[in-house]
Amino acid sequence: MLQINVLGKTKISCNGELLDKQLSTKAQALVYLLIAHNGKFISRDKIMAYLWPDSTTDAARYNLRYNLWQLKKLLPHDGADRSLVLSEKDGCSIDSRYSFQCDLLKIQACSVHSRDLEELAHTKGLFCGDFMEGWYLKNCNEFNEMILFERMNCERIQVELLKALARRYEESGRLEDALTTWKEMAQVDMDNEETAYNIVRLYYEMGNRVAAINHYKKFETGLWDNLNIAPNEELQRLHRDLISGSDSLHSTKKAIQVQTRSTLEINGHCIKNIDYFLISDVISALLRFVDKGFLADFEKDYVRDLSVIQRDLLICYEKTTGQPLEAVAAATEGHVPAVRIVQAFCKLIEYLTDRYDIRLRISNREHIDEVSAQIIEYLETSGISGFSLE
Amino acid sequence: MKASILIINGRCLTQDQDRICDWLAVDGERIVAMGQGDTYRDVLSEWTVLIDARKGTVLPGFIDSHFHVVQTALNSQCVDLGDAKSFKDIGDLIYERYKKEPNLPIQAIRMDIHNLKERRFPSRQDLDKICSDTPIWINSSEYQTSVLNTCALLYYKIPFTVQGVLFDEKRMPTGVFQRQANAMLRANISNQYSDFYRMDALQNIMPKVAEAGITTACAVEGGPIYCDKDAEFINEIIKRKSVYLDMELFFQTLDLDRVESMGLHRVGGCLYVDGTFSARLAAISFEYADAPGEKGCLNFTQDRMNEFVELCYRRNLQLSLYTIGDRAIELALKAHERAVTLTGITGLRHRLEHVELPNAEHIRMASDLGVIFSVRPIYELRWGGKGKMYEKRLGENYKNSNPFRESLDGGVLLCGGTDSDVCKANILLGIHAAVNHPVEQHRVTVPEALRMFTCNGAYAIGKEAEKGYLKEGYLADIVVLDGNILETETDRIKELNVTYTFKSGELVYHA
Repeated sequence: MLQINVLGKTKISCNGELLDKQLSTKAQALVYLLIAHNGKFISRDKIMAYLWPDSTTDAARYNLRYNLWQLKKLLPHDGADRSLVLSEKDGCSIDSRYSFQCDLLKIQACSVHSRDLEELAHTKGLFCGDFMEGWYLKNCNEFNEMILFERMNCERIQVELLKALARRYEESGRLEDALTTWKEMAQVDMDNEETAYNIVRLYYEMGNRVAAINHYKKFETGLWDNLNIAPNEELQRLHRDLISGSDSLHSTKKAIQVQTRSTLEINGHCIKNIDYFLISDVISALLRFVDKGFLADFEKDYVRDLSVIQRDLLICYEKTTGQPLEAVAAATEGHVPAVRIVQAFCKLIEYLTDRYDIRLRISNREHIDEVSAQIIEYLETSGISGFSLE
Repeated sequence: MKASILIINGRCLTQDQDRICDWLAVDGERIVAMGQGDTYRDVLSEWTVLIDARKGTVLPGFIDSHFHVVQTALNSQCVDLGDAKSFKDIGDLIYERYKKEPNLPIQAIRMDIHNLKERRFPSRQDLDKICSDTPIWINSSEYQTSVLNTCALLYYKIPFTVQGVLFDEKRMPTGVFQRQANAMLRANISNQYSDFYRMDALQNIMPKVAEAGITTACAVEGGPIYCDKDAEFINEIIKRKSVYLDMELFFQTLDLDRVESMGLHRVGGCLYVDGTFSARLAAISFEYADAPGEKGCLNFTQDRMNEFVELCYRRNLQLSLYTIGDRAIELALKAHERAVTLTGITGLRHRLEHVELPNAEHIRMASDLGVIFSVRPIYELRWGGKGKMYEKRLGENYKNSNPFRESLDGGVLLCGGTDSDVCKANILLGIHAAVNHPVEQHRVTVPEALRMFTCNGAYAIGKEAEKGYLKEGYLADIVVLDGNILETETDRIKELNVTYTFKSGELVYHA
C-alpha cells in the first residue's frame, strides 16, 4: 500500500520501496499540497500559482500536466486501477476512494476528545518532526505559506493531543503514563508552567515528594535561565506546600479534579421509525466514556426508567454498584410512561454535564425517529450548560 | 640569569604601590627582573629579544572583568545593524552579506527600532523582500526580540505554541518573536552551533582582544538570552588552553550543583537581579522620569535572594550578581549581610556587576561586607551626562550614576569591565571613561582607573598573587602603550594605542 509521510523527513513509499527519488521535487510538492488540502479539490490555476508562480501560463500548465502524468505513471494503482491523484479538467484532488496511508491524515482524523487511549497514544507517536521538515520552495510564496500554516497547525494539535492524553491517563489511574506524557509536553514547551505544575503534582500524588521538589527546583532554575523570571504564584504555592507538607495540597488536588472537566464527543446514529433509537444509542455511547463510579451515584429511579430503552445502562449499573441485576430489572417490568423516560434522559444529561462537556453529533439525522427528535429539540431549547449539539 | 625578552626605555607602572621602573626582563612565562636606567645589562644575552618601549607606558596585561566572550565571538560573524536608520538600511546591509555568502544563513544584530524611521520591527514579509531564499535572523539590540524571514521560519525549529509569537490578522506569524518564544528560538539556534563553529568564531576575535591589551577576561556566559552551551564550551577552552587569553568562567545560572560539577568556584555574572535603564527594568527607588509610575522590577524576592546567597556562602562559591538600580543593589547587599551573619563566612570576594546607582549606605555596606563593585565606565561615555539616555530615564538622578570616586573613597574595591559585546572591548576607552566621568565629582585618577583594569581585576578573581602587577615572579602579562599615560591629557587617553601585548611571556600583539 502507498504510504505518505509528511511529518519530519517527507517520504513516499510503497511496500517499503522509496518512490521519492523517482519523482521530481514539484511532483512531490504537488502530492503534499493535495494532502494538506485533505481531499478538497484545487483548481489548476491555483496549483500553478502554488508551484510555478514565476512561469508563464503555458509553461506552468505544461509543468502541471507533466507532473500529473509522472505521478500517475510512478505511483501504484489500486485494484480498480485508480491512482492517488484525481485529475480532472478544472482541477485536482486526492482520490478519496484510493486506499493509502498518510501520517497527517491519521492525525487529523484523530479527535483529541477520543476516549480511546490506544488511539491517542498511537497518534502521538506519529509526530516525528515538523510538517515537511527541510522544505522550502524558492519563490513559491504561497506554497511556503502553506507549509508554515500546516506546521503551526500540527504543533497545536500535538500540544492538544499530549494534554488530552495525559488527562485520559490520569482519569484511568495510569499516573505513571500521565507523568511521562506531561514530560513529553515539557520537551515541546519547556517553560510552560501548567506542564510543570502537573508534573510536580503527579510526582506528589504518586508519593514521590522528593522528585516533586526536585522537578520544581529544576524548572525554577530553567525558567530563570531562559526567561529571567520566577514561576507563577500557583506553582510557587504548590512548592511551598510540598516543602511544608501542608494539607492544602489535598485541597489543591481536589480543586484540580473539579477543574479537569472533560469533553465527550458523542456520535449518535438514527434509525427511522424505531422509537427512542437515537436516545438509546447516545446512552450506549455515553456508557463507553463516562466514569462508571460517577454514574453509580446517579439516581436509581432514573436508571430504572432509562433501562427500558437501553439495557446496557442496567448492566453497567449492576457491575459498578454490585446490586443484583434482577432486583433493578424487576422494577422495570411493565410499562414506563414515555414522559418518565424523557425526564430520566434529561436528568442523566444534566447530571453528566456537572463533570463533562457533552458534544453530540447526530449521523444520518434525516432518519431520526420522531420521539428522539422531540427529545433532542427539547434538550436544545432547555439550554443545559455543558451540552451542545453539533 | 638571562632574559628571553627585555623591555627597555619604558615607564613601567608596576601597580605595586608607587613603584615605577624603566625596564623589565622576562624569562619563559614570568617576569624575572626589573630596574632603573641601564641596569639591565646583567640580564641581556645574545638571544634576548629587546623591545624598545620608546618612553611609552608599560603596564600589567589588562583584565576585563566582564566580557561576554562567546557572544562577542559569534556576533563578530553577524551583520551589524547598529547604524541602520530605516528598513532600507537594514536591507542594504543584509543584501551586502547575501551577495558575499549567498548560501549561508544570515544573522544580524543590534537592530534598534528607536533608530529606525519606521519605529517598528520589520515583518517577515519586509525581510522576504530583501532576500527570500536564505534564512535571515535579526536580533534587537538588547536581544529581547528576534525577527525572521519566511525562509528562516521554515529553516529553524520554531516554537509556535509558546507565548511571545506575534501573529497577524490572518493568524499567521509576523516573524517577530518575543519573551518565551524568543528565548526558545535563541536556544534552538544557539544549540545548533557546533563547538567547531564557536571555536572558529573565538579564534577570529583573538587578534582584536590582543590588540586591546587584554590578557585575562572574566567570561560571563550562559543563562537568559545567552546559551548554557557557551559556558560549557568556555570551560573546555580554559582546560585545554586553546587560546592565548586567560579566562575565568562566570556561569550565569542558579544551578549550583551544575556549577560545582564543572569544577567552578564561582557563579554568576549577569545573574539578573533587575534589568537595564534602557528598558526601564532597572529597579529604582524613584519613578522613571520618562515613564511616571514605573520603577523597574526585581527578578527576585528578598526571601529568594536570601536563600540563594546563603547557599553560595555555604558552598564557598564566589557570587556575582547583576544589579543596576538602587533597589536591586539594596536587595543583594541585604542578602549578603544576612548570609555573613548566619554563616560567619567571609573572604569569598563576592561581586556586584554594573552596580550603577548605589547610594552612600550601599557603599558603606559593600565596604563592610567586602563586596566588590565590578563596574562599566564605558556606559558613562555612551549613556551618561547631559542629554543622553540616563538623563532621559532618570531625570536629575542621572548625576548619581556610577559614583566611582565615592565608592573608592568609601573603601569599596572597583574592578572594571567592558561588557563586550554590548560595548567594544576597548580597555583604554574604559580607563578614559572612568577618568572623564561626565559628572566631575565621580571621576577617578588615572592610577586608580589603571588599577580597576589590572590589580583590582586580579584581586576580584583571586589571582592577585600571579597577575595584575609587574613584579618579579609574576606572569609576564604585559601591555606597552604608545605614550606615557600619566602625562597624557586626560581627555586624550582614548587616543592612546597598545603597541605590544605579551601573554605569559609570548608576544600576542605587535602594532
